Amino acid sequence: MPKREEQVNNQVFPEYKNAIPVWFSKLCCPKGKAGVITSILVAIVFVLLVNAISHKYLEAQPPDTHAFSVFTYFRGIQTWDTGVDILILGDSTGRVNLEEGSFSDRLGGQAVKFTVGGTSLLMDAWMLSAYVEKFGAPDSVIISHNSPTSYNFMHSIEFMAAPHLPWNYWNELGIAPAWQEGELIELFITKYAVLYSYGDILRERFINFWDLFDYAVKPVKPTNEYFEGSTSKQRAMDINHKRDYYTGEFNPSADTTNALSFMSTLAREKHFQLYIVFQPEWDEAVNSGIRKSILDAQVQYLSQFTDSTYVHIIRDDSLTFTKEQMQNPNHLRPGVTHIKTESDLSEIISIQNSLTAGQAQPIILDNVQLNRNKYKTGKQPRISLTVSNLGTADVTGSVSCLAKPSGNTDGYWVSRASAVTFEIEAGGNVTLELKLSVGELDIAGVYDLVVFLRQDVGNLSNEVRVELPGELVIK
Amino acid sequence: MIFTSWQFAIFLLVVLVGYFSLYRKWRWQNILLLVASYVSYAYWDWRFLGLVIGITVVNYIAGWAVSRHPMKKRLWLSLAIIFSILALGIFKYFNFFEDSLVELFSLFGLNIDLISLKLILPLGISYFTFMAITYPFDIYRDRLQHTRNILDYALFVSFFPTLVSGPLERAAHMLPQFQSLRQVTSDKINEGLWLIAWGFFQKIVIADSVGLIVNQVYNNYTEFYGMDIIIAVLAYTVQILADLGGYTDIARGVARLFGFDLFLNFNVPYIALNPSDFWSRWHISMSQWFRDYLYIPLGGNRKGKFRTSLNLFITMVLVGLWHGASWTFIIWGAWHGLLQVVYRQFGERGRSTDRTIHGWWSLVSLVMRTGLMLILVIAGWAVFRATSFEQLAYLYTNMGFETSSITLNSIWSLFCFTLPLIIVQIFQIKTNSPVYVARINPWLRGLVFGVVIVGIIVFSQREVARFIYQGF
Repeated sequence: MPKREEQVNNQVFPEYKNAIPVWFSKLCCPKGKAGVITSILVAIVFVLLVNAISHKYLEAQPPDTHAFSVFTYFRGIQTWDTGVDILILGDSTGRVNLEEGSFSDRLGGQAVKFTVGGTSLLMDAWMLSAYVEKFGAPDSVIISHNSPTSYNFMHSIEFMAAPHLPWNYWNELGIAPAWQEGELIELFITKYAVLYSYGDILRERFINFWDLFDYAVKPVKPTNEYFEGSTSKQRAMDINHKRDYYTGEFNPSADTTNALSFMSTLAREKHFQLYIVFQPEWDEAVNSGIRKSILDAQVQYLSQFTDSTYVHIIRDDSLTFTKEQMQNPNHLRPGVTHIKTESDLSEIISIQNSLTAGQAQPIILDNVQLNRNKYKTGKQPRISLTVSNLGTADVTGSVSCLAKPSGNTDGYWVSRASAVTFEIEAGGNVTLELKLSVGELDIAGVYDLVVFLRQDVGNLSNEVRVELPGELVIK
Repeated sequence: MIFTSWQFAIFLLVVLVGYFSLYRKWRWQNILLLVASYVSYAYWDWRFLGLVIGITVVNYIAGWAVSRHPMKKRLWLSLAIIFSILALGIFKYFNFFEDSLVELFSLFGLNIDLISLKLILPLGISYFTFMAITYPFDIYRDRLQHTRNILDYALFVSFFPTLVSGPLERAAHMLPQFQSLRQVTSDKINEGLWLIAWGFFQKIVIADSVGLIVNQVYNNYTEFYGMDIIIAVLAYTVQILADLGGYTDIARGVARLFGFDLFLNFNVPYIALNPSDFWSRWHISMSQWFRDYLYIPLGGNRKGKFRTSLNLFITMVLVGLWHGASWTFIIWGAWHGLLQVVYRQFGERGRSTDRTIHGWWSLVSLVMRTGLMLILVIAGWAVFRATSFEQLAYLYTNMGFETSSITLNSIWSLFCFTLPLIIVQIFQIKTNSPVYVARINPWLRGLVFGVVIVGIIVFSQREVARFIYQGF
């Protein structure tokens, strides 16, 4: 009767029975229960290994779905060498309704929009924190959110679970989410069990494997856009169908309060301007009174964060929009966005002018000369301007202008010249040339020219607005 | 309780723990399994538990009577069959025949108003009814002794892995297993785990993924034409195999963890050379049921060529009807009946399953015969999947080779999800075993398990569709 060890050797490697140690053959080919357990353990290790590799892969090639487009902006921040002057944050009401080109012209410097549909104020706070960490404070930060839905949002697990962001990065950004029970476990699983949580993305990529390593997020660069608005089909606008979400309670989440508190404190510490912009309002809804309580509650809530120096509410009660001007209750249609943007800018300029009163140098527009008397439709007029500094100190700033149908407000502009910067010594002057290259003068008529003389006062601006009625004639 | 639900996973774990804690007490294990099976069924709809128990009791009594009264055994068997078929007929076919009758009368301008019983189709009724009948039938044919313990028989009828979609087991095969000590060896556990893993992969990765291609076309068929229709039919060919094959493998795997062997239900059916070969590979438990309990009692091939052909045709039509109360199933059954009859005209050559390759010509012949049979089977699936004659007519008249913007994606997707099935079936053919993975080196086996599990996690559709045969 052979010994048990010999039996094992005979079964597995009969021809090498004397050469292979028993422990090795047992290890190579475990039998019975040991075999079952070995298989199960190998399977578990394999799954964990593939999960780890997939996690590494997703760190390098992060998903770029709707919710993750915020990461595009994080990447934008990471890949920039220098910062910008104006940050526009918020949800789709900021993305659709505000034009960064106009902000850039009238507040000076470069503007960039980091707005994502459906985002939360907490994400704005993180974005701002990451930005300030890298570049220091911008001059102005604009926040635009839909009320009240956007203010209700809690943090998004989906966002925080992105594989390429380290665990706890929210703490590094200075503001933690208001965690709910069991949420950290859920977050951990979502963030690290990527085979499950990102299965749909991995599946899609594995099937189309030729693009497997071509999913890098393209960084965002500052732009000078003047046109936004939703071009998609207009929703049926009926106030009776909007009541639930449009006129419900204004219940800001704990995350929202934390985020606003963080951002307003940061504004005061770093000395930048924080403007909280209200969404556009639909005239029919406002006139019916159904929006009053929610807007009043929003103003009252925000007043705990505002002050007269750094944190401001931007809201024009008198500005409302018609059904035809809106795509839905908080998105404007293309072109109508000029009205909202110029209105918000006028208020911001008004605040900045009052903050810089007494510090600005007196500058005037001495001479305005168009290169022709009249223009054919479609032409882009050139304007020669002379700006004089009557003050006792040197001035830096910029000048821009717009053309609007005669008698209308600035928001109805049809053509615009991007800002040109200047530097004028005390008592000196400078001649500059602007070109109305944005928009189109495609309708014959008489247009007013509006020139914005902007000078830098610290990190603020002081603006002189000069209106030249009937200056431009299009045949 | 459906295999693909989380509830089932928890349920199975609890039952396994309870089962193994009753080590060697197989009678108590049977009681536990019976309770678990009833709980599992009641979880779907407790009201129909009475139907399962009713069919169990009636067939058990019939079995007892057949064994006790040999002179009247035909009568008792007939009564059991009539009762079971009546229950099946009422719940499954009443609405179909009623609607068909109304339509028939309306063709002659007569509008009749029959009783409308909008009955719910009890889950697995086609399976547990047919399984229950095998008991008095096998006693009648002296293949089985009457069992004194009704609980063992009740467990056979309601055993939860087979209750919803089979395999269509026989009392003669299962009762001896239920009435003896369980041998849950490590080999059985390995086989069970592999069958479960691969079954899940087939269902929620392959079947549900290619099912998207099928549904896209079949649900909006008038928007598609040409190649897209062909791809949808091909996709359904893969889907139905992976769906029912996956279910069966899970059932067999679960049963094996408890120490039981269930019938092999699919044996690489799409390499069949002729209709009789196909039906010895496709849904084997069902086709053998119809052979043993319908075709042979009808006379089988013992009464001349014409009667053989007629018996085959009738059997196949009833196979179609068994799948569901719809004319498309009947046509599908008739199509396969016709194929059986036509192939039989070629005598032994028509039924040959010899795959020996003697030279080029035999290789070409083998490939062509397999290809032809596959095309004929696919043609049948197009009918089987159709929900109306209009749809069927549209699909057949609009098939072609014109492509659309989705064609390439559909082909690629179908290829990607069919490839694992082909690879596993090649191994199955080579090793002549559907559980060969369970026998390879444990390290390699673990790796294969790992690959399958990763595949399930990543490639499964998050919204799992119900099993196709669950509706039958």
